[in-house]
Amino acid sequence: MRKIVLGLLIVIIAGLLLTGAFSGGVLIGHFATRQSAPRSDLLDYELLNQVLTLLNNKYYGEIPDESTLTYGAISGLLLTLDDPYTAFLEPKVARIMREDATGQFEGIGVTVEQHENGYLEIIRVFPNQPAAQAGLLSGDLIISADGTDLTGLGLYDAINLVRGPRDTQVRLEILRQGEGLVDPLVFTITRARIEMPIVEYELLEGDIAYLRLTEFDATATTRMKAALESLLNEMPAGLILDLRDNPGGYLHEAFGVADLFLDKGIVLIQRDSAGREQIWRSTDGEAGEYIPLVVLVNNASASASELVAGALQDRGRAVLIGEQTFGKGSVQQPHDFRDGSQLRVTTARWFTPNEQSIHGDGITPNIEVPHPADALPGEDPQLQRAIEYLKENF
Amino acid sequence: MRKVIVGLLIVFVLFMLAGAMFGAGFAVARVTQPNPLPSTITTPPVATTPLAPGAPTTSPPASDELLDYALLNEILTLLDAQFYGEIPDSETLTYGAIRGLLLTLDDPNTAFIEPNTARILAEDATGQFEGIGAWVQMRPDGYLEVSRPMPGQPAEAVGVLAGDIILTVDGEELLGKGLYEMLTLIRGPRDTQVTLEIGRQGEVDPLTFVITRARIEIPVVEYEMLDEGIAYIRLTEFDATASNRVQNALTELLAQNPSGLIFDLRDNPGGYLNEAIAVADLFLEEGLVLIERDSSGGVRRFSSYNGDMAEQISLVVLVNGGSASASEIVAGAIQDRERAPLMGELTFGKGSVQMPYNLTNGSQFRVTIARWYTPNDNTIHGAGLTPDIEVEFPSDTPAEEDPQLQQAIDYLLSED
Repeated sequence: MRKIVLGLLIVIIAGLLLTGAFSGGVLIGHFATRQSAPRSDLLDYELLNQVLTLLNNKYYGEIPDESTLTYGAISGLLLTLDDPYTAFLEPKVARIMREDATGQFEGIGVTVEQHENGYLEIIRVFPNQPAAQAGLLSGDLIISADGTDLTGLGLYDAINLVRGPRDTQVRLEILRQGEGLVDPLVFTITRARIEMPIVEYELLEGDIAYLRLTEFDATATTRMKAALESLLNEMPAGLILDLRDNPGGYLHEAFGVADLFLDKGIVLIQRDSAGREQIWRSTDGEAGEYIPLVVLVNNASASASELVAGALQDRGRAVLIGEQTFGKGSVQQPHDFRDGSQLRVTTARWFTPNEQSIHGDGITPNIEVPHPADALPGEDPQLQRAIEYLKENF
Repeated sequence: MRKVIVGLLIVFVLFMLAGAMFGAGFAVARVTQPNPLPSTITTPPVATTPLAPGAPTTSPPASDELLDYALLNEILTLLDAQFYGEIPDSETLTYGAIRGLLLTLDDPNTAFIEPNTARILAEDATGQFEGIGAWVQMRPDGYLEVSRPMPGQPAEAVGVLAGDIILTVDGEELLGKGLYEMLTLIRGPRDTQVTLEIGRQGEVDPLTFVITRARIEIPVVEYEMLDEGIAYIRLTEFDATASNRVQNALTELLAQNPSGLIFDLRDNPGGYLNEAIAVADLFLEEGLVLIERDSSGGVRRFSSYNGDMAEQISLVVLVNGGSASASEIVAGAIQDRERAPLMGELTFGKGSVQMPYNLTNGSQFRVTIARWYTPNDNTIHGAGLTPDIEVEFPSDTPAEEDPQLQQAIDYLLSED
């Protein structure tokens, strides 16, 4: 059970933007330095303390516990940075995101969103996983888990109730459209370890291979490589790499995926606030370096997706088709704290091999093809254009 | 005597955002500080001294237990070391942190107010300010627009018009500044001059006005004798002059022997508690006006006394969804004491009291310290007051019509 990273951060930063690459390497690592003395140069502790003392002595109403107040203060001060990507995640949120980023989790195997009435709405049921086997459908509303009503819990608390160790059971009450106002359906589901299906691929008509990546989690490169090899065995005439609606993920996975399609050369240039530069270079010898390539992008292709698309475009390796990309070219370093919370700090910006900054502007495709708002289900003019392009040119 | 705020900061903030009218001399929430903090303010790990006269002398828990300073420090250290971008100054960061932690209280009336804003609000709360005398609003696009020049004041005298956009003040561009920063530039001591560049519809180039500032009284009371022989008084906010000015208006109106009185509290967001009690007393004989309960279980009762001039006249009080706080105190007491019917719409529902504390750097902290209850011990908080006679004000009402006022007139005439 999960919500893609895209959705998670949207909730956290109050409606602001997509997320993207949670940065350069490993997610974890306890922050070692512990300071006990107030850093009076960054915060006015005297003022802060005046406010707290007055609250403590005078406030009519219940003062939240220390964690809640502290998380509030942290979120408030981060808002002044004017960078929506530098964000603080409370423990319950961080837990879910950390698990998701591994590409695996233990649960029932669905994607959910918070429904307006406060319940969890199932958006997608992963095939052949416990939820699917038990008969859950997309559109179902989960109204309780093990007897606990999910209304008013918030997305993350609700997800934490549905997830749990493999081989344990969870009892869900489900409201299903069309079942009227009768009693909710009850499902008892045995949880399992679930791999998130982030790669889809198939051979299209005309010997064109299609490969879609929905997120750069920790398994992205491995799975893309496997899919690519499987497709190339069919000797396709060309390949379409679909990065539409891919909000990003790990930086090293983006690099790994780009390298699958690039021979030796620069993939990306990263610069931190102190002006230090790190250049990421691809190497020769990967499976996808020569096949004619089209990359599909849209305005929800962000961060890691833009990094890959930008490198392939700058290096002349692929033609980009679709819409202007989102425009997030910054890198976040995650830091985990004792209480399970996490801080993601924007530490650097990245630039394409030709020194384009992606941040703010995004990448302009070589061939712009909008996706009409009134497109019928199954109709995909961007994909269609990609197929035509490969047929015409190769 | 302390002056507590029973104004409606949330409305005030929304006004600011929505760009509703609001003054280069008008404020909705109250300020002055009768209980300045002692200079012995302590720093985080140390227990603090009581901050106001009358505060409990039992030693309060050290406030460093309220925040996890270790975590806060780790965050700041990481930002300092790694953040790509400019880290704001400590004032900005601190204000952000305070706002963030106050958001967790779930009480929009407990609020932190930055020095610029606090200064303007404090001045407005006196009922006077020194400036040019114009109502202004911030537009969504960030420009400062004159909603209306105040009649007879310097801005009007030099020809500033409603709808004018103030572009620069003494050469300084306003766009990009916050509302209170702008107001701080425009205001200044009486008899000094300020040069405004103004953009006006239909004019190609900006117009330049040199205006001599004056001391301006904020008009919070409007009154008149209506044609039907009924007296009408409108109070737009409970500033420090409210009860005096209502009393003056009553003196003048009652001398004309009206058959009834309409007291209009519509869109009055509140103000000082003591002014609310004093205004209520003008209309009420001896009895209970308000019960206040604080967080430690303390109860205070506020009473009215005999001998005020408007205790007998036939009365209708007009209220609506913009009548809040101090307005609800007055309306609630008049209703509970069965002095007069309330007419109009359900009131806002703010029954909490804020104490404003001035902090060391000029900012202000308004803390919800109590709830108040009507004489019959009903809480207004959340629920609001239901008028005895509900009369809507349809949104498509022509500008010159006022169905609520009309019904109040009809009611008083039929009572005779």
